[in-house]
Amino acid sequence: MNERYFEELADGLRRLGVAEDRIGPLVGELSGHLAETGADPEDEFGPAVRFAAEFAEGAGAEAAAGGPAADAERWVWSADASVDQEMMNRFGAQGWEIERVDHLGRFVSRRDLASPTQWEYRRDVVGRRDRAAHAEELAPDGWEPCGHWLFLAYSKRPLAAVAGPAADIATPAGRPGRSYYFTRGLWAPLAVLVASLALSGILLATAFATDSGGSTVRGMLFGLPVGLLLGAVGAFLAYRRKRAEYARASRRSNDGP
Amino acid sequence: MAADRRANWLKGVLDLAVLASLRHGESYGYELAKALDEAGLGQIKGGTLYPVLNRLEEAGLVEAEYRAAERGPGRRYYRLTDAGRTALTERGASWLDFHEAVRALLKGGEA
Repeated sequence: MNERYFEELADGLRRLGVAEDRIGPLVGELSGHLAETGADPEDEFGPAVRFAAEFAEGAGAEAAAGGPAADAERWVWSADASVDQEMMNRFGAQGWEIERVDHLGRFVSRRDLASPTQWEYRRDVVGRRDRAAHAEELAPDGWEPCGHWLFLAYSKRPLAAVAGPAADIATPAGRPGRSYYFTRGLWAPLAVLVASLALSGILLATAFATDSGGSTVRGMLFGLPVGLLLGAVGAFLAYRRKRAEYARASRRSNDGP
Repeated sequence: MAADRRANWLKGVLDLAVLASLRHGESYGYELAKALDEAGLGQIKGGTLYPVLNRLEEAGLVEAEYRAAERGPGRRYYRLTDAGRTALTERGASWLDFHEAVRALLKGGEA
């Protein structure tokens, strides 16, 4: 029982960047304290994760790790648009708060170690110019923007805004094992793109190898703009189709009963 | 409610109380918790005390030494450094000023 507690504590301290030569003596000291009081470790020191956070705050862990404040853990993750809402809400329930969406479209998140609380998320299709108006419209319900990606606007609100103290998390789940959640919806078009590029490369190489190059260059002068134009039209149509599809989906999930 | 209020007050003064408990010599966590309890500050849990001791150590106000015990686990003994003694004098005086101000206010309210 005590061993499990101290293992969890040591793991928490390591994660927060506390030096190994501080962890061993601390565990020894706390075991001694328990031996004298005869108390249960959780009663005496509180949840291991929280104790680790409080201890690390004074241990200069931030400087040692060169990382974030020791009262929170950080996690950067990503999911494609077909599963992002589901994943955001799943991790939100585990206490992960998305702070922003970075330029690669990844969710930069933090979790408060001392008093983790649940978050809920929503996604809407919003044009660049309408973002401020959109945020203003949602604000009365406790939503605040937490990032944008192309035409998608993400908003968050602490569950405590609707559920009160029930939204607090007593023992947060461990850090998720994976950081990338991509589905076939993303892989399939990517695979087609890579295959097309590879095929064009092979065709070009073959053309240059079998021909002196003159007619290949002439062919490219005509083929390249046509190909680019066709590709751009295709991409634009796909973008519009996805945008409409996500707009319908968010209307259904947000305005539903 | 009363316990919550006392816990809040304690937050602001616990480091000072720990420094004061070490004024007359070294001590270790469990003994410090007992001394603070006997002084009337209430039972201080290890989860509150050890992070404070750690902060004081990091700030160079106390220094610690681990000593093995004849029986059972060893103990980590804390003692004041010179900086700790100075901090105790300065912060102690400033706390007493604050205490006097609150006291005067409360007594004034009664009159």
